[in-house]
Amino acid sequence: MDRTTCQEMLKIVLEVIQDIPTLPNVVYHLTRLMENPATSALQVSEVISRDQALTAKVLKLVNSAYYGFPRKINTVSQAVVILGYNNIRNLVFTTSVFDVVVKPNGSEPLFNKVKFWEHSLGCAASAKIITKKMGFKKTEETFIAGLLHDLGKIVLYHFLEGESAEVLMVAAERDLLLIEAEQEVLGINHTYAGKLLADKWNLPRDITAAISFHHNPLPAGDNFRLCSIIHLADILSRCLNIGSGGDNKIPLLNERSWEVLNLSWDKMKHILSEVETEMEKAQAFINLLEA
Amino acid sequence: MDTTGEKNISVLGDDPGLLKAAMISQQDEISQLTWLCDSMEKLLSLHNQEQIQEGFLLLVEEITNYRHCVLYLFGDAPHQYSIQACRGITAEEVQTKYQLEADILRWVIKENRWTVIPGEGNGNEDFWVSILPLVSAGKEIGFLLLNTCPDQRIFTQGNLRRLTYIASYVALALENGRLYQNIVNTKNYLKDIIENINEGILTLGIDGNISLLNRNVTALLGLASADIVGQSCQHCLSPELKRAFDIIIGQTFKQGYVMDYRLDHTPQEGQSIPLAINCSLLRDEKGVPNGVIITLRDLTTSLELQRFRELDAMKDEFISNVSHELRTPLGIITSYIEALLERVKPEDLATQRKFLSIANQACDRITGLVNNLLDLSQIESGRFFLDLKRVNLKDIAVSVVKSLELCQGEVEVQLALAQDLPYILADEEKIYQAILNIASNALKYSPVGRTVLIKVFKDNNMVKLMVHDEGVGIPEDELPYVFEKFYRSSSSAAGFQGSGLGLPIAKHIVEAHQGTIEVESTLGKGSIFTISLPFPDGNERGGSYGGE
Ligand SMILES: [Fe+2]
Ligand SMILES: [Fe+2]
Repeated sequence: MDRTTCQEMLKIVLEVIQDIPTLPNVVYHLTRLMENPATSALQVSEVISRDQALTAKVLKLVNSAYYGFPRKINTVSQAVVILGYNNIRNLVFTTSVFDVVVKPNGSEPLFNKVKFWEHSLGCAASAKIITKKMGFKKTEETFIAGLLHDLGKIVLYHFLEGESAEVLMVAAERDLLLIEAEQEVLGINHTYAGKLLADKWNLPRDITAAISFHHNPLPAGDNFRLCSIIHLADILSRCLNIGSGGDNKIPLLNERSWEVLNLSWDKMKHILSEVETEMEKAQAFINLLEA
Repeated sequence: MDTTGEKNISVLGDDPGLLKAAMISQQDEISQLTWLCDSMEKLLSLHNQEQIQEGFLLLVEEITNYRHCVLYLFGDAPHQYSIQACRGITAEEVQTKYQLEADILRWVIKENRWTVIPGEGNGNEDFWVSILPLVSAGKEIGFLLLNTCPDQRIFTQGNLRRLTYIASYVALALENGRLYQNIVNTKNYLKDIIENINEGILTLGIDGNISLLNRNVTALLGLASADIVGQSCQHCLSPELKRAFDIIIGQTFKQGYVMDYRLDHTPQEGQSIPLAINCSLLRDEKGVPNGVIITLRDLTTSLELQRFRELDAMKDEFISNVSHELRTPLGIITSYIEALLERVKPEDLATQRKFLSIANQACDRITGLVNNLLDLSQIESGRFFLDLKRVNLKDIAVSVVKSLELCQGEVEVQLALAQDLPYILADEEKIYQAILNIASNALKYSPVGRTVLIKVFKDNNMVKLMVHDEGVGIPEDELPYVFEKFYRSSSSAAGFQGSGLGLPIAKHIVEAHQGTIEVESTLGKGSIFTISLPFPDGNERGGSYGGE
């Protein structure tokens, strides 16, 4: 693909993103609030409570099997002190993102939507388990990053549609990775399209990094470790045949990432066996989001 | 509700204001984190559980300003926990005030995050109850229960981050402290065993340097100080021990071990310790030899026990010998008296006399044996006194020969006496017995037709009596034992009778007179027993041989 068509394509993508709705105001307020360490549970719950639909959804999610708290949580402020700030933030983000991307004008994407979210969920569950096994506490962050890692594919195959049909054909005919076919046909791939949308939505920096660098973590800088986890989780989800991201090829694992993650094969075996149980819990989470 | 929260919410739409507040808080957070890092470093360097707890509870108080708190630690059994420390509340009050619900506790610990527990005063009431789990590298150590004011400024995301961070470090410090204590306990236990074991234990590195030793080693080897760990073994040992150790260690490296190497060790003048030394290789986890372990056992007690056992066996044998000795003459007496009563005619006086004299001889044998036994018991019990008088050894020798004439029979006794012998100071009866014992012993072992020569003479400052027989002789390897109690020559198995008491009694008597007794012997040719007795100054008359 030559330079001019590539630039035209970029223009088209940017226009498409322009048309994608912004996330609700409450998400931005929450982001600001969360940047302040002195923020209290009451402040967070007051911001969320302004949006009745969101409040209802949050209460439904915090009481779901995914979190598994043994008593009923009645108020948002209780939810904050029980689940913690990060869980609530991630929950609000995911809910809002799903509201925007899952049901735009009721149209269907070019690929199998159910399989796509299954793939994302598989990646999210794997990322969470890998993080846990590595002894890090930020399991919720990596879960959300895994869930949203292929956000760019929503842009290309749901909002862009026409031009992307060829990508899927090329990938299927020549057994290419989707990202390779995208580069060849469109001159722009789903990691870049995803980053553009994440920027527009002001998503947290780590999640944006996971979207941009999950196929090649090397340039991720500070987020190299997180991006490596998502990179490996994406590959695991494909190996375990959980859903489909639009292609059926398994990408090569980045050597440096493997080194940094420093996982023994013994640990890998444990991770693989735990992903399945985690998937079941995560499915409940997604079902609630889609309802 | 707190006022800062109110202000922040009211300016939510105003981005610059919010940003400024966030920046200030971030800066505060960074400076607090630096301070926290230092505190954590200090906590992690502690090994004492009390100190770690104290530091931890102070930090938590600074952050949460709790009314009271309770530290629980998990035991070895799963889900079992107990109160470790309380602040602002007693353990009894805790029992009545809080009933922790197991499923909620489980959930909080699994999530490993500072969590406010709803229903326990959360919301409208005037206090909050929260739980801070202590989990280190997946291992659940315990948790902290906190009772705080329902102040919004306490449960902020910054404090949540900080407390969760502190908790994981404290969990690590407590776990380290526990492991450290375990190591110390194990070490003390092993030290106790090593110090109190009966044997001496010494380990050497491959370089020959001492890596461990116990008290017994210092005592057994007579080392000046126990403080020689790390020093070369060669520098601390006496030449005698050094030689032995060289042999032992060399053999151990060749064949892997040395068993019961015997060494009579003299740590200081006049003290001798019989040692049994064992040695085997020490190996590292790869099986490569990296030293030797040497154990030393003091055999004094076990050797004594062995001697007691031998003595016991000798006594048993002795009793059976004595019984035999008594039975033979008693048998003679019984049968001759029976014959006298039933078969010898009253008028046959010659036969009567002959039989009575045989019975009389047998009685003498019994008397002699019983006297010997009595002497022995006197010697053994220490009730042995000498009645010293001026006597001439020559006179005693003459009366011994006279009493032997009665039974000498087929063996001739010759007497060679020097003239003008100096008198000695002696208990006449006892010296008589000593000489009789030796002379009758000589007669007993002399074949028919041979001579026993008894010589008395002066030699230097001693008066000597020599008994020279032409008997069977004594094997060379038995010579050192002939004066030992209960010893009976191997020749006695060949039909010679005796209690094995005559010679030891003679030796004891002579030595009580400051004299000596010696024996020379040639197998098949005969033996020479020599008694030497000192004489008092001023009665030296010199002398030459003369027959009697
Ligand atoms: Fe991707
Ligand atoms: Fe993917």
